[in-house]
Amino acid sequence: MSSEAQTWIALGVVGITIALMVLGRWRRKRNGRTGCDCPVKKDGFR
Amino acid sequence: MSGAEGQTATESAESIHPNGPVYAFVGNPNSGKTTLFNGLTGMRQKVGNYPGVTVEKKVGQFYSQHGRPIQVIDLPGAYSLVARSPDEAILRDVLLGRRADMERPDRVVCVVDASNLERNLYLVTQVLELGLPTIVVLNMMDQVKGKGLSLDREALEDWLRVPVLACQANTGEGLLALRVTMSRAVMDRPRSPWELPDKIRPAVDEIAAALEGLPGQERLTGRAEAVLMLSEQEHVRVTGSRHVGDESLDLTRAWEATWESEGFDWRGEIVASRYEAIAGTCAHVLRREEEKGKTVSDRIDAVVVHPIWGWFTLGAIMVILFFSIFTFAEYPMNFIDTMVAQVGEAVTGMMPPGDLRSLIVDGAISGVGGVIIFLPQILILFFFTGLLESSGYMARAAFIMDRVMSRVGLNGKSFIPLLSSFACAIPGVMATRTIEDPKDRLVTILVAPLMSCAARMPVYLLMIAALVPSERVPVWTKIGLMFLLYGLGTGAAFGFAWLFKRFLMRGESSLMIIELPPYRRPSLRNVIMQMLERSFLFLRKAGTIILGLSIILWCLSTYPKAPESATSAEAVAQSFSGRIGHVIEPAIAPLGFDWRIGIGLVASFAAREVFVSSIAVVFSVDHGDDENILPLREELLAATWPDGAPLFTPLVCFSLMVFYVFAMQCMSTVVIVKRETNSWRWPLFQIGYMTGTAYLLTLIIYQTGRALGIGL
Repeated sequence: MSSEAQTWIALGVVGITIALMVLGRWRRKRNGRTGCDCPVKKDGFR
Repeated sequence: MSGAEGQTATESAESIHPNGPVYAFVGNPNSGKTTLFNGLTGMRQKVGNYPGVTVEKKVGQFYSQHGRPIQVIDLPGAYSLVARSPDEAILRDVLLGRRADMERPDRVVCVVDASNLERNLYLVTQVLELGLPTIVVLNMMDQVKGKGLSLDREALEDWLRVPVLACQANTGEGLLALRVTMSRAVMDRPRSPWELPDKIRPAVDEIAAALEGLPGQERLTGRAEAVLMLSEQEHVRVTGSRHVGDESLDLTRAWEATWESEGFDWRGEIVASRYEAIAGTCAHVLRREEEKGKTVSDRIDAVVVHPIWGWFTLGAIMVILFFSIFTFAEYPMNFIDTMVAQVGEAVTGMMPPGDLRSLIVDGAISGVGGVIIFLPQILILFFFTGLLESSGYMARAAFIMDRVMSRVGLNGKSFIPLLSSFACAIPGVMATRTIEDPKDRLVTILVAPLMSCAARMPVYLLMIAALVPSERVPVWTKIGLMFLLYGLGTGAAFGFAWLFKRFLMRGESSLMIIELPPYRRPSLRNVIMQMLERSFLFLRKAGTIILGLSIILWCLSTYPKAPESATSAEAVAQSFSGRIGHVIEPAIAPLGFDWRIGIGLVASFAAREVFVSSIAVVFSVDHGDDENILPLREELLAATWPDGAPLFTPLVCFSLMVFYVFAMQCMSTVVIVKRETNSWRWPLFQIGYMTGTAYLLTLIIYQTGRALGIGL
């Protein structure tokens, strides 16, 4: 694989990552999640 | 509710969910409900949240004796169906069929701590009024015997008129009988064993009639809900639950106003008459077999909650915890470290040099590997906290800490939120919902993120590893350092609470009433399952957020590209992140931090553990295309300032740890605080005071250390 091809693929991966993170955040917001999946236990702790 | 009115009826086959019956598990906190749930469903569980609220939703499945699937929902623990907090409101709304996101369960399993029968039966009687076929499980029968009592299960069954089973959730005894009973094709609907006071009955009839007009409302449920509405101080609503309707609420207020003018304590009357019926039954069902002196729990408590020995016990437990974290985790950590390095080397060997190889090796593998190496230590931390929780020690720790908390003006109820914050500040902040006084609640929210959470652990551990190489320094030094950091965070939380209560929000602190459950043999299976669940979340975070941020940080540290002739250090320095780092360097240089640490500080605003992965990425990229991949600790030890002086001196490592004790480096917590306080004012204040303190204290430590020539 040429160096140039590697650069383009790497940039593509970075782009997809950013898109997935933005999408994930939007989905979490839509589902009412807090951004942290720690389950809440009022009477104990985790 | 009148026994005569609630007639025994059998559920119809159509009323059961077509995919098999759905059971709701309810019970008091610490009744062993979750242990039983885990025992039945094993790993076949799904954990999520109820939409709109951060209350845990746990759904599991197992198969009946006839091979039919049975769905089980584990609902939040509560002492009563009268809701005062969001999780209690969820319990109430699920049982009443008011949730928009799920159907009403077909049947209920009510788990009872048999050693506290009277208190537990209060919830049972409320559940029976709902008219759903119910199975009552008497858990912890060994403790009944331990107290010198005997429990007549059949007599209780006669009174409640529903199946009553004896069970020992932690050993799995009685699980088969429960499984068989839950497999029944049809079950009788229960009748309430309690008589509603005459004076309250007309009000209940009227409100129930108003509720019955609502879609999907059953007659018996309407009456049960009317009693609950009359018992509430205020109606707690949660997102995603259907509204009870204005007519019924107006009627409730009208009846309450009438009784208030008559001086009639209707709430007290409902509670007292219910307890009277329960007490009468308990006197009949429970029999004292032998006089017992002090129980084993009492004898242990004489030491564990003693004003002086109690503190020694707490200290000893913490020492054992940290000792285990450092010693037992060493081999698996070395193994993961070697594996990560080997994967990196394998990729390097397979691919020609270029950006994609650098992205995989320096971005993804270094970033994620830098964090997952701490998995063994996190596993040990959660194993220990699980053991302490299920053995009953946590309540004792709360008890001895209460003395200190009341001195600084904190509410006794603040303890559980603060304790939760040792794991993560988010459940801690959310747990403050149980504190009724708004000022106390706010102070607790403001100081909760100062408790050292599990996300700080990787930062502490990395810095300790860089600061004190294990070959030269005994493990006790590391334990001492961890103690110091945890103590610093806890001390700061108390100190700031005192300051806030004294100058910002004056008010009396209220008393704490806490139940000290008897010591129990922890269920190893349960502890391990909890530990695995947490570790899965940790790994998922490493595989998603941390991987994503590592890739983005790699991009920022690689582009724009430097000319071919530039060294790798020069290339990073002129990249985007290098430029950002250089912009903030003048502000952090007085703390002993260079621009590369600055990148870590900025990146870890998202979450603290990102510091480790970002440092790993920045230093790996900085290292260039060198085929020889070093462990992160050695990379750090080899890092220097431009003049050749070592970067990570003991003083800098210590300053960084202190910075992370105080700094508010967690976006998720900021968002939650905003949501819980309903304004941006408090989270901004929190960022200001915490990060300000972190900066000032780190500055003082670094500059004093330098002036005195310590740790250079």
